[in-house]
Amino acid sequence: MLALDSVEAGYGQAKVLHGVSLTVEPGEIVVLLGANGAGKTTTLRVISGIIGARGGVTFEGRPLIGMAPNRIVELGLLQVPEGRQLFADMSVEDNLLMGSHSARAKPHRARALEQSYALFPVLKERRTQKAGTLSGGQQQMLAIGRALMAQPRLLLLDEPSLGLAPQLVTAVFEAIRRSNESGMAILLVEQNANQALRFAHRGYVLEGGRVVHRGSASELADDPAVQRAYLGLRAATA
Amino acid sequence: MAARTAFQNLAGRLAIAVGATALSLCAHVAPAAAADPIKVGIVVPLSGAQAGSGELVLRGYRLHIDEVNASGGVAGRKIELFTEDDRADATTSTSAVEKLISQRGVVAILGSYGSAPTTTGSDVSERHKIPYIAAHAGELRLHQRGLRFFFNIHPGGPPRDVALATFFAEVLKPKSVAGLHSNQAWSIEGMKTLATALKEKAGVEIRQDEFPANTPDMSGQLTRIKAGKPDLVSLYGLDSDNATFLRQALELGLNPRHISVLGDVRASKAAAGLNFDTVLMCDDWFVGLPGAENEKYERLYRTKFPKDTPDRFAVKAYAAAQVLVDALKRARSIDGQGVRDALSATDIPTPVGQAKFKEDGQRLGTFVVAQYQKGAPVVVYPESARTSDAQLRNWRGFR
Amino acid sequence: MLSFEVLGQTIVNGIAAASIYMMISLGLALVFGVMRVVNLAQGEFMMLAAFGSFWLFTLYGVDPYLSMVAMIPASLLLGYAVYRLIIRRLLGADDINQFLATFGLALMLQGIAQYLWSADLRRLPYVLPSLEVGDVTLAGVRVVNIGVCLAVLAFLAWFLGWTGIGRSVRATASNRMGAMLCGVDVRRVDATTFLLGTAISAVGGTMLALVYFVYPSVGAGLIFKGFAVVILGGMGSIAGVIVGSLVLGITEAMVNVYVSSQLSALVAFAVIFIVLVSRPQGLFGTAR
Repeated sequence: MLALDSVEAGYGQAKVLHGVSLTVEPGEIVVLLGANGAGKTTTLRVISGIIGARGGVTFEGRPLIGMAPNRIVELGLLQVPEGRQLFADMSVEDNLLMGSHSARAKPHRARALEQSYALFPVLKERRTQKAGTLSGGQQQMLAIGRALMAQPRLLLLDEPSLGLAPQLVTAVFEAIRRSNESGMAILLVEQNANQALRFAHRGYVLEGGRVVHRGSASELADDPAVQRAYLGLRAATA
Repeated sequence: MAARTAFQNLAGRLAIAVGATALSLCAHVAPAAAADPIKVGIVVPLSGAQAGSGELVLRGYRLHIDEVNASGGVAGRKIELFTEDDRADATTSTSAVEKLISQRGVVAILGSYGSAPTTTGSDVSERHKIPYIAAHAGELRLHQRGLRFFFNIHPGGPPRDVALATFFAEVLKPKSVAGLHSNQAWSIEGMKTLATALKEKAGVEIRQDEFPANTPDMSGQLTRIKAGKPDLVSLYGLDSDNATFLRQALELGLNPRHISVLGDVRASKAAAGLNFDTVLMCDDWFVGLPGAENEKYERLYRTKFPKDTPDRFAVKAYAAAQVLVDALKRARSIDGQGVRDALSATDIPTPVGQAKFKEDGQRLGTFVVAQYQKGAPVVVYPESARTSDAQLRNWRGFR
Repeated sequence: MLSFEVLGQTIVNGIAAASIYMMISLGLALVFGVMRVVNLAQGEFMMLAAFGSFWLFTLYGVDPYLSMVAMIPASLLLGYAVYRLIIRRLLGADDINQFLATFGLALMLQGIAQYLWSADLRRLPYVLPSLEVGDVTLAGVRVVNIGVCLAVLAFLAWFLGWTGIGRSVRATASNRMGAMLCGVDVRRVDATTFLLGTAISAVGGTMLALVYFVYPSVGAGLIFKGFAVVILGGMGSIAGVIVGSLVLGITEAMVNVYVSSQLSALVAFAVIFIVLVSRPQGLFGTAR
């Protein structure tokens, strides 16, 4: 469904990705692990068309490099970005409606709005409130709800658990699992490797802009190198 | 009034350029005169914000000099003009005058537009003992410098202010007067002189108000004036200020019995579309001012520039050129000192009135009060120049 | 002097001035809000529209309220050319480059206007009867200007609040990256916003021609008031522009009548200074 082949990218002179290759198949949850600065967020930005890159990025056989971000969204490839990128001074409902901006999502807007509110009832209660006044967890729900409004076929999630209380993390992952069960493929960037590997099908580990490990979730969880570097690290800082 | 389009402006300039070239060609073709030409310098703004006024001033100078040259010049000698652009700027004017005297060897300078370039330019010519004749410089301090080679067609503010105060006291007899002046030195000085004279002659105080020159908005000042319910408002400002005042007086319903302004209220393009009837105006010259000299001048002007109305910029320059030519004719010798001595004894009629200089070089001028009546200005004061009675009724405003 | 009618008249004068300030500030705030580009040539769009209405009236007798509408498509053409050639390239550029580019454009447009029509001060000789409300006189054209201003504000409220493209404009202003990730074609939003600002300033140009002088550098004088308004109201805030314009217009009128006309010209300076020192995000802005 999504395939990256030897992708190189960076910001100005600073190169961040040095040949990243990975795939996401339909219906899969794939997790991208790695330390800060490994190139996880940059990889997602390349896929969404926010920054340019060299190499191959295809979505269902269509090359994405050079395509404008709004056209990529039209293909059904959505991102819940790091830092959520909400419209802080707009209402919760306006934020959700912006999610169904694309032409392929617009006809299903009313139903999608209902679904989002069903998934996150707290958003319905606060639908006239400004997004910037929500709590961190509610903002994360809104960011996911906004992305789901676009009827994505592949959802890119950048650190959805960052800064959330443990019970909220569980709720967010639950929402992601339910979306996946309805057929949506997911590429997840996460530092919380324990939780992510429990719930993903496959994973990749990035280090210095290169893929250093790959395998099924259970293989990675059992890999001593991954355990040392990420699961241990996580445990030590938790 | 038909608006002049950019094309017409351009066409007009081309026509002047073609005419000037033709004239200079004629001069070359004609057999050499018995004697060398008399060299005269002109400093005027031909670029920058004052270029428009500067071109009219230049037009006035040339109108008379060309006329004199066409009829044989001064004692058989043609007058050769050298023109420099000073952008009405004090510093540029210094070097322009220096160049005309040192490099061209002119025997007299016809001056710039505005008090600032006139001040510096005349300082330079004084040092070289070459006469400088100003046409458009009104500040009092110009004549407080003790210069001996400086002459000014502009009669200065006080005679105007006193004439206006006398007219107010004798004819209008106002009980309550509002004075509105711009923030420029000449305007502040003038309003002060007017107020003192009116207090003396009629015992009436002027409530004064100030605005920034060329302001697009006087609504605050007019709101204040309206609350005082004056029966006379006297405005000291620029042409565009006159237009702004009338327009906003109408908008705000300020309708005093008498409105008095300086200069021709129709002069600004910003006044287009207004009805001026009964507005009183004070100046030393108006279009259609009675008198043989002015009639002759206006006839000449309209023949030469059939599309334009005679204006007060060109006419004062014309008078300055007349005064210079007259002095050249009488001068013992055609050099700085000779021309200077002749100038100080000037006593000739010009379109702006008799030209006669005081000890300090300023012309003794007379001012008149005119009023728009049925779309044209008529002189209503003083008695000696009067062509019609002043209509003492409120300004009617719009058509 | 402190009579009710003087006070009333002064407030009305201030609101009339504010209606013009709003027209230039809305353009500035919209463009800055969405693109983070300060368009120093915004006043020149106003100047050109003012000349357009002036000449249409002077040469062909076209009613200014008709030419106000005619100036909108004309301004859109010019605005689109300026957007394509200049503004689009300034996204994310250094402040200094933005200033130089748009300031250069402003000078160029002024120069063209001066070459074509000279620097003379002109007025559009169009008048409407004044209204008397008690002792307060309402100049006809100023009342209509205030009405036009309200209509523009109503249109803007509808456009931004009730249309999809309006929502995209707000979203892009709020978070450009977020808008891109929602599939918004932000370049189209940029162009739309810039043209909206241009059209509003063009309407303002005709309003200006009805109450002020028309001359090549008229916009340059107004852009400064526009800055005072958007700094007061918070860069990029529409509500801030409305309140900021009213505060500036009425304060200037009050200072003019009750203090000194010389000081009223300094009100805009004082506003900028006080706001920048005490509350840099403006009255309505949130600290970013």
